[in-house]
Amino acid sequence: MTKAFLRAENIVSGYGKLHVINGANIHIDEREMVTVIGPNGSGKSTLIKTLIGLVKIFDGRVTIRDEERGWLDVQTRKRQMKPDEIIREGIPLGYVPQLNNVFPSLTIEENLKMGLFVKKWDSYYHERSEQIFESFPILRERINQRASLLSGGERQMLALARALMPAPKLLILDEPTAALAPNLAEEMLQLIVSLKNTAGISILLVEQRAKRSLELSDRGYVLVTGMIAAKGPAKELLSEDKIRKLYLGDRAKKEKEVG
Amino acid sequence: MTLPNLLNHATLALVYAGVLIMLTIGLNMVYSVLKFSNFAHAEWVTMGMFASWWFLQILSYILPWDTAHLLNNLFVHAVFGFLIVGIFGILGEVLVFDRLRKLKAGLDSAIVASIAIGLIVRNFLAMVFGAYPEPNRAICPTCTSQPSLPGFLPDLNNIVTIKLVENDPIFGTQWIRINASGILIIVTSIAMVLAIDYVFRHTKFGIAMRATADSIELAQVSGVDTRRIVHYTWFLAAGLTGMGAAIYRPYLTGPFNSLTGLYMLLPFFAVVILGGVGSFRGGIIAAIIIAYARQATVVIFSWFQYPGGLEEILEEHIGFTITFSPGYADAIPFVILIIVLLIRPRGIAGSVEATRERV
Repeated sequence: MTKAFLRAENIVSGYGKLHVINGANIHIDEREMVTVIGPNGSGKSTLIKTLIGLVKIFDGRVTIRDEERGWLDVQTRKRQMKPDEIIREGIPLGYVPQLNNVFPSLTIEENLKMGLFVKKWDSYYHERSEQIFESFPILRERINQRASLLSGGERQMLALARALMPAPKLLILDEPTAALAPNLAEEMLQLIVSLKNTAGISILLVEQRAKRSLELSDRGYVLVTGMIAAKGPAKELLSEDKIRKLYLGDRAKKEKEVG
Repeated sequence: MTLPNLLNHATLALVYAGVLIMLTIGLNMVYSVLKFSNFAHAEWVTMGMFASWWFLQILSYILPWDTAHLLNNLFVHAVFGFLIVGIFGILGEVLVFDRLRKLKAGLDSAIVASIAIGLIVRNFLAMVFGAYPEPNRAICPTCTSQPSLPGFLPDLNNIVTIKLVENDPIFGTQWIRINASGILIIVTSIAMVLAIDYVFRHTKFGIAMRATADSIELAQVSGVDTRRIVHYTWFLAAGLTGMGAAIYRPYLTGPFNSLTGLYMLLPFFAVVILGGVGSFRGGIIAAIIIAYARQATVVIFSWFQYPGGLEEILEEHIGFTITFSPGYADAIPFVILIIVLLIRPRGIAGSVEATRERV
C-alpha cells in the first residue's frame, strides 16, 4: 500500500487577478510517477508552480506529508509559503523549471552546491556529488566549467542533478524535454523513470510529449482550461479514445473521423 | 626631441584606474543583481565624501586631544562612510525599489526612480551641508575647511618621488611621483578586488548572490531568501562606494561639492559598459583601459601643443586653429567605448553572455 505524499485540493490560482487554475485536485503517492498533460495554455506550468509557491493561490490548499511532522500545510489562502521557505523548512521537494533551470554564470560545481544551499554544503557536497556523478558522468568531466558553456541536453542534466543534490522525495519537472532532440528526450525520460525505480523518488511531470510520458507513468491528469478534465491510471488514459484524439496527437484517427 | 615623463603619466593613470575600480564595483553589483542602471550611484560617491568629511569634523570636535589621529583617522572615516552610505542604499531599496517591484513596475521605472533619488539626495546634501562643505568655526575652532584633509599620520599629502632618469637627451626626465593618498587608493582598490573576488567565488553568500543575479526564481527554489540577498547587495554596493569615496577624498586637489559624484558618473558607466555590464573582472580591465587611454591622450595632446607640434603645423599651413588641450582627453574613454561596443556589443567580458543566448 503506497502512501500519499502530496495533496492539492480545490486549487484556484493565477497571476494578478486572473484565475488560471479553477479548482484542480491532484495527489501524488510515494514512489509514483504522475504526468499532467493538456493543451497549450491549459495551465499545466501554473498548476505546478502553485504547488511550490511561485504563483499566487486564491483558494484551496496544498499539503505535503513529512515523515516526522505529519501533514504540513504548504499553500493555503491564508498562508502561502514561498519556494525558499519550503526548502528552508526542510520539505524534501525538488523543482526544475522549464526555462532558466541552471545558473549560467556559475560553474557546474557551484550549480550543484546551490542544490544544497540550505544544508551545510561543505560536508554534504562530496558524498552527494559522487552519487550524482554515477548517473551524470558528463558533469564530473566538466566540473569547473561555467554552465553557460553546456549544450541544451547537458544543461537539462545539470538542472536535474542540481534538484537531486538534496535527495528530495518528490521531484516536480516542468517539461524537462522541451528543448531536446528526440533521442535526447527519450534518454531524459528514461533517466527520470530510473530515478523513480532506483531511488524511490516520486515524480510529477508536465510534458508536451504526452503519449510517451504517459506510457512511462503510473497515473496521469488531463488539464483543460485550469480544470482536471480526466484522470486515472496512465494505461486507461492512453486507451480512452477521446483523450487520444484530443491530447495525444493521434492524428490518424482524428482525420478518419473528420473525413 | 626628448620623451615626455611617461612614467609619471603611467603612475597618474594607475591611481585613476584605482579610483574607477573602487567606485564602480558597487554600480556593477547592483546592475548584475537588480538588472538596472542605478543613477543614484553618483550620490553615493558624493555622500561618502560628505559623510567621511563631516565625521572628521565631528571627531575633531569631540576629540580635540586626538592630534595624533589615533581615532580620528581616514580608516575610521572610511568605515563610517561605508555604514552611512550602505544604510542609505538599503533605504532606497526598502522605500522605493522594493515597492516598485511589488507593484510590477518595469525596470524603466526603477531607472527613473534612481535618477529622482539622486536628484533629491544631491540637493538635500547641498541644503543641509552647503554646496561646499564648511565647518562651523564658532563651534569648533580646531575644525578645518580643507576638503582634502585626510586626518591621518603620516601626512597623506607627502609626496614620494623616485627619479629614474633626469634630463637625459632622449628619455628626458622619468620619475614616479605619487603622494601617500594615491598609494592608499591603489592599495585599497587592489584589496577590494581581492576581497570581492574571494567573496564571490568562495563564500556561500557570494555564490548565492551570483545565483540570484543569474535567476531570482531558480535561486528561490534552491532555498535562497532572495529578498535578503537583495538587501545585502544594496548595503555592500553602496557601502563599498561610500568607503571608496572616503578613501578618494584626500586625493582631490580642490574642494569637493554636492556635484562631485555626478561629474564622475559618466566615466563610471563607461567602465561598467565597456567591461560588460555585471561583469566584475571585465569592469576591472575596463577601468584600467579607460584610465590609461585617457592619460595617453593627455600625453599625445600635450605633444601636439609643443612648439613645432601638430597644433602649430595646422595653424601655419592650413590656417586652422584646433586646440589640443589635455583637458579634452575626457572624451577619449567614450571614443574607445563606442569602438569596443561596435566590435563586441556586450563589452569586453560579454562573450559568456553571448554564449548563453546562443545555446
